[in-house]
Amino acid sequence: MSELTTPNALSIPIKDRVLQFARNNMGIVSTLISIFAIILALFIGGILIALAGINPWEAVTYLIKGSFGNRYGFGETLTRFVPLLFSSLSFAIAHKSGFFNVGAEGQLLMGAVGGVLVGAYVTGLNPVLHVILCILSGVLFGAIWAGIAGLLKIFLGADELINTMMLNYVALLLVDFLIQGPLKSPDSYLFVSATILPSAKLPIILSKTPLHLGFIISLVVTAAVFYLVYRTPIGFQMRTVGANRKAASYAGINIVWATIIALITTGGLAGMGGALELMGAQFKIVNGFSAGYGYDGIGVAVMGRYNPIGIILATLLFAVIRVGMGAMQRGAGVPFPLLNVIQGLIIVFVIASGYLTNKLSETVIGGRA
Amino acid sequence: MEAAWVTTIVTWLTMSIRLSIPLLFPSLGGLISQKAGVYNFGLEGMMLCGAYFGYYGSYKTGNPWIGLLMGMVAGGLLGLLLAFTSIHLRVSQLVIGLGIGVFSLGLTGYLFRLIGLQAQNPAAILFDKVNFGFLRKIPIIGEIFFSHSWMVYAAILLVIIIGWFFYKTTAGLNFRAVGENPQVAETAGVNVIANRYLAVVISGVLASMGGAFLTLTQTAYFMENITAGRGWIAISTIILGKFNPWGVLLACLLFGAADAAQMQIQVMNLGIPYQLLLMIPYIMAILAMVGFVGKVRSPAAMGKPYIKH
Repeated sequence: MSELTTPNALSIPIKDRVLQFARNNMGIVSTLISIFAIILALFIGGILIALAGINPWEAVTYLIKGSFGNRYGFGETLTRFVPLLFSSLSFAIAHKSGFFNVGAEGQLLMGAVGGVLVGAYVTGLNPVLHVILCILSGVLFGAIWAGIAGLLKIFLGADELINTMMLNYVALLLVDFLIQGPLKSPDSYLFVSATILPSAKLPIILSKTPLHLGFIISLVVTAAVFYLVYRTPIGFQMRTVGANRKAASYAGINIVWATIIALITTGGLAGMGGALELMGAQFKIVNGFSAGYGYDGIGVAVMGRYNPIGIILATLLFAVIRVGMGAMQRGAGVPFPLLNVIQGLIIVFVIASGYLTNKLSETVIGGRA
Repeated sequence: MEAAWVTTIVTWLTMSIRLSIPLLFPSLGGLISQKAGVYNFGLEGMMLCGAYFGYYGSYKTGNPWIGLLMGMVAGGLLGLLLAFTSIHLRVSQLVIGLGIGVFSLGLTGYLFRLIGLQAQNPAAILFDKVNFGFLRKIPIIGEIFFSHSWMVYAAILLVIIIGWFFYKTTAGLNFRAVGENPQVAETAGVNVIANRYLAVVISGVLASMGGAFLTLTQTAYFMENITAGRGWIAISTIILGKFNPWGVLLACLLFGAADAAQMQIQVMNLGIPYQLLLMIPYIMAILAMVGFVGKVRSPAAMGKPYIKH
């Protein structure tokens, strides 16, 4: 009789009970770890601010006030949210499909080029149509740019990681060339592209702030993308290819086709981010148009653990930090690159903490993936 | 007229050697790490830290050697971080490398802007060129081969040492075994973990020397993102060089030659937009990946974490 009863809860050592709880609630554990990672990264950032002879508390006040302490800052944070979300979606979807796309920066820029071509040079369209065509053009350009690396991988086996990274540098130079030459605005002495027409601009959705319709589009697209990945047959195929290429091949999945869809999605998303940033926020391409959103997206995806809710929350956090850093630079004189220090630390801490979660779930992954 | 052509070619060859060195250091670093079975995708970040701390040490103390030492320590520490996370914690080597890149880009930019706020002319002291005496006076040869900083010769010496170590010593054989088949190596009494740690830390130190080469022999100033992707190109030169130090040297010379050529074409003012010329190294890296992947055999256990049973 006594052998059949479940052991008394009190008879199990505390340590095992904690482990048991953690195993059953991996979501909570990884969220706590992420929060701890952020706090640790911000703490080290604070030390760096103090080393520069600036009062960290004063700097933090600027960060909070600047990013969501007032209406304008709040709108600006949600505006920065848009390109960040797209580039992290781009990285996450590629990652799920077994494709390392670190080229969101370049694809985002090319998406903006696609946006300018339609937005500034195609005239006489009704606004709705113009906006849609502009976005599609951005998607197309982003997908083509990712497609270069993707097709080289599919058909020639070339490593996509280095190629997407190299294409970032090529895109940066290409855009620089375009805004100094073929796409240069005739009305300006500066090196900027032509400005898109009013009919291609996205409407503001929160008055007295820069927040534009792209914000809502970005949330809808996120839902659609995760529907595609988790609820459709092609999404299943993409994930299977990503999880295990060999198994996918034995299961009769058309790997080339699944990879091509993944490529169009990953490049198209980054391109769409660039197009929306152009149509909602900047209206023309200047030098430094992207400002590192593509690289930030990697950190966001890692921190959001590649799932939709996680990515949206992580994007929001990164947008707050980004806008807040701008305010800190203006207000307290803290150099802006501190943004990358904090993001880099978050990536390192979150990924290193993967060891703990692996230990807990008693699985071992690793290597490049 | 003929003399002008000779000068151009001599300048080109001299520059080719000089420009291949900031690529050779991180390539050799990456090679050592990959031979032991660990991907080092943090090369770019390690180079940046080497470039910044090399610059900072030389600027503050007036002694480039102290700068170089600071840079190497910074690179070694990042290497240690990469080693700990990828060997011990067995987490994604790619993501940790990217994290190191983002962190280093931020840290060096942050610290440099703080200096820029205070100093009037923040120039670092450069290394002197080696004085070869009469050798330097030999026409053409003297200019091409004997007009460089000691770091150039050190990098080439490293190629010789690494080649000898890998293929002529027992320790080198053990080292390669760690990257090919760690289980067998461990059974044979080789300490896999120690070898991998050592490889990744050395890799970080070498990458940082590549960065320090830029600030301590070339520019005397630091610029944000001064390495411009060389840490990533290095990964393709390793493949182009077929995982052999001599091959890597040739690959780096090829990139150096292309870079020197595009710089000279810029100076000639032929009306080609400079941005298109600057793309050449990146496009070459892509072509190298396309042409050689699959035909080159990489160490069998590369990127796979080792689990001791």
